Amino acid sequence: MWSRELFCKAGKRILLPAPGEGAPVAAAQRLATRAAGEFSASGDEVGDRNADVFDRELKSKQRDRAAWFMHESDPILDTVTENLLDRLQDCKRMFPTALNLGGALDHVQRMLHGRGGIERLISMDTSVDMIGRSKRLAAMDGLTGEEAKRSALENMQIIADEEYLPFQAGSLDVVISSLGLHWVNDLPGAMSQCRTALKPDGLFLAAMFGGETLRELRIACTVAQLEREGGVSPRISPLAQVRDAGNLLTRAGFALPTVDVDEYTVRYPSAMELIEHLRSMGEVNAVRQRSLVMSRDTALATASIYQSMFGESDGTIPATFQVIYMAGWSPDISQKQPKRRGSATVSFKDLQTAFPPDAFSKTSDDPKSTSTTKSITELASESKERERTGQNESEETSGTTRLPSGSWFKLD
Amino acid sequence: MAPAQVRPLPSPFKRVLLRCTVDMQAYGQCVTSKLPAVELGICEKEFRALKTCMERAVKNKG
Repeated sequence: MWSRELFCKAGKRILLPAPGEGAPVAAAQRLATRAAGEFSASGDEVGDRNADVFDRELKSKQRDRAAWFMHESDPILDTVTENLLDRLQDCKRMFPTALNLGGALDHVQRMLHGRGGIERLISMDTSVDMIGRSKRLAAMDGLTGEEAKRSALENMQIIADEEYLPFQAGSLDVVISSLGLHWVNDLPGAMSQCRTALKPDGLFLAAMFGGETLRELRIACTVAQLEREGGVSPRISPLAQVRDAGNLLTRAGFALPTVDVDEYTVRYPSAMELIEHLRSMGEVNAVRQRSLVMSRDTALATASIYQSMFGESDGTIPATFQVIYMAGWSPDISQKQPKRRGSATVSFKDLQTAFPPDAFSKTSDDPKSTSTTKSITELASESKERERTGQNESEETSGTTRLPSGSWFKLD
Repeated sequence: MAPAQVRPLPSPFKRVLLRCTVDMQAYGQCVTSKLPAVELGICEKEFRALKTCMERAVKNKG
């Protein structure tokens, strides 16, 4: 459960755990994750309406600003979107109607290239300027001749909130979200609404930032705040952990959930460029409980500590972006279900008949054979003999005594 | 890894980063060596030096 007591007021001193508990960097990271709060799904009901971690209005204003600063081709957004859309080609089905949830909206639009048989793409975001940008991209796509015929994509844009999905049940074939769900307050509820909006046997594809993202920045911020201010306040938003991703999918009611993780390390000349890049992607802090002031002292301290703790030999700093790719299908009777308990028709004992022990032993009875050509049964019988008789025989002994065949596989 | 067509604006912070590398390194090393028992004001001396450098860098241009 998200707990507000995890935050400490400025001025309260916290001591990091004792040095014996592990490397200093790991200890600082543990404290930083505790202070920033780990997002984990729990609770009896699917959604959690009381979760109000992120300021959604502020986030939409930040995305408005980012819509103007976002680069045409951003390395991280491009790579993640490409990986995500690749998964559409992993199945032979066609998905005519697709919903594109915010995040890297226009990247999805631009890189789709008709994959997955998508004919209608609905782009949805809370920010007006992001939608405007997506509209301009759709209008700019003045393709002529063959390309226009190949990519007959009908584009639609709506301004809506991911937590209050304005779609009728069973109206979408696929929901794609490229880095759009990590600013959602009620993530289980949003995913559950996606599942309802999907037709039976519809696909849900999402890529979101995982808990390891920006761990260097988080550590540097924490240590700097400890040294300058004596207290810690969250500078990085809480992010879903990999172990919770599977739970999220099943909790939302998706069948056949798949989760995989990718970690990208990006190098920047300095902490300044990293912050600029995050701003241009719209990934600025919008946690409600954040401290509204970051003094110049602390910012300076953060940059210095980042450089000295994580700086590479050529002066650049790395930043980790951990992306969790989630895929789930809305339930349908055509999908394979796990078998009922007690309905097994094959027993483990049948393995003996399927793989008889004689099948692995060599047919030659050469006494000069080396130990490497002995069969499993012979080795097992030898060790058993040694135990029983208590003899100190070397392992190169050539005398082989065979126990009755099948003893190696005796199961009780 | 910013694309070539974007040039960062000449902000004061950037000037500080360029001019005060020695002081930044000194402060960074101090804090890194004191990990994990970092307390309030543990590297005060190094930070004062860094802060004076920063103020100088910001004032000289503006």
